[in-house]
Amino acid sequence: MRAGPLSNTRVISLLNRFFVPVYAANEDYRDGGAQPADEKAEYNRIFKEAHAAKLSVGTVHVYILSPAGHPIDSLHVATAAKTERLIDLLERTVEKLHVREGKALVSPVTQSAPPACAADSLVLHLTSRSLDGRGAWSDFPVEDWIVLNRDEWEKLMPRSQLQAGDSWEVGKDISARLLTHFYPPTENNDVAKNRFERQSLKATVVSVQSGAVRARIAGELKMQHSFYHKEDGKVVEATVVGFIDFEPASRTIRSFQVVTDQATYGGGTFGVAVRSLK
Amino acid sequence: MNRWSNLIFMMAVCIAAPQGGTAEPQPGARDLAWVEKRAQELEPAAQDRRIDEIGWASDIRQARRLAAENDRPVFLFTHDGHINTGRC
Repeated sequence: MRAGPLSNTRVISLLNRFFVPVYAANEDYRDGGAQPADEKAEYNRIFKEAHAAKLSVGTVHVYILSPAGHPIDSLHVATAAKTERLIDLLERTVEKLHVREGKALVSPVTQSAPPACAADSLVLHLTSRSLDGRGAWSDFPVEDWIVLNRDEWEKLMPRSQLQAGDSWEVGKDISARLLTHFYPPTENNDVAKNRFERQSLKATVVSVQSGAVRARIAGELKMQHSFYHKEDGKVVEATVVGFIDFEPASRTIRSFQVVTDQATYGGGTFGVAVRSLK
Repeated sequence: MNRWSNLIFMMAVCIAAPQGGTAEPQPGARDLAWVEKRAQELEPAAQDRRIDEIGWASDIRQARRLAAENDRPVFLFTHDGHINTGRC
């Protein structure tokens, strides 16, 4: 949907001028999911009302609700992903309800935003994309947000006095927190299912100037990661390189960035970049 | 300096450099400039984020409230994963 109709100029225009668009991640609406009870109740009501109205229903689905909030139409994602079919649904709805054209009711904003976290957290933004269109989805790059709390990011830098050439191994728990996200765009995004065969990050000081340390990071990983949720034996293999700038005296990280040098998965190549927010 | 003095001086610089304040990798290696360039190349471009051009309500309740206030239908897309980051 995202690479197809939701990137189409006509669809974007129709949604903004005539509809109130909203998306709902199913995981957030299940038991234990992040959404509050009344939001979950709305989601369940819509599903049940659509079913009672004999509309098509499903978890990955498009629903059209009347201004009063009742389901009046729906499309399975396989159909809705065909841009012309979705445009037809939207235009049909506008005509049927005599919807008046207007501006978007919510100002468009970047949808991938850093998660709420403590002010002293280290927030890292990760991008992953297929480089050759093989072995992974290649429509667009995907993103992750990784938040390390103070106790975690402090482990990226040693407490000892440093000089050029000094090196240290980043703790396995912290390198795992980062490297478990090093996989290309796939259907399976449950990192709890990833299994490392090996993983490491090693930092080596390249400069010490005015109390600021720059260290080069080099590492590697081999990790089982299934494309779909069923185990398929597919493996990520990657080498990574990057840099961390920090001030040992004030225990401050100025910047952190790591990218893949070589990365393969499922017969294709991919690239990952992780950078701290400025 | 003659040719031999030059050579000895250059060798001394090469040996001394790592023991000083810096030991930056040679240009062309996987240095900071290379890492920054590669990170930039991997970042999503505007055409990868056209979903950001849509004025999405924050949740179903807000969508319903706005729909009722403005007499507009709601377009609801339910999905697995996270469409905002593309991990779906």
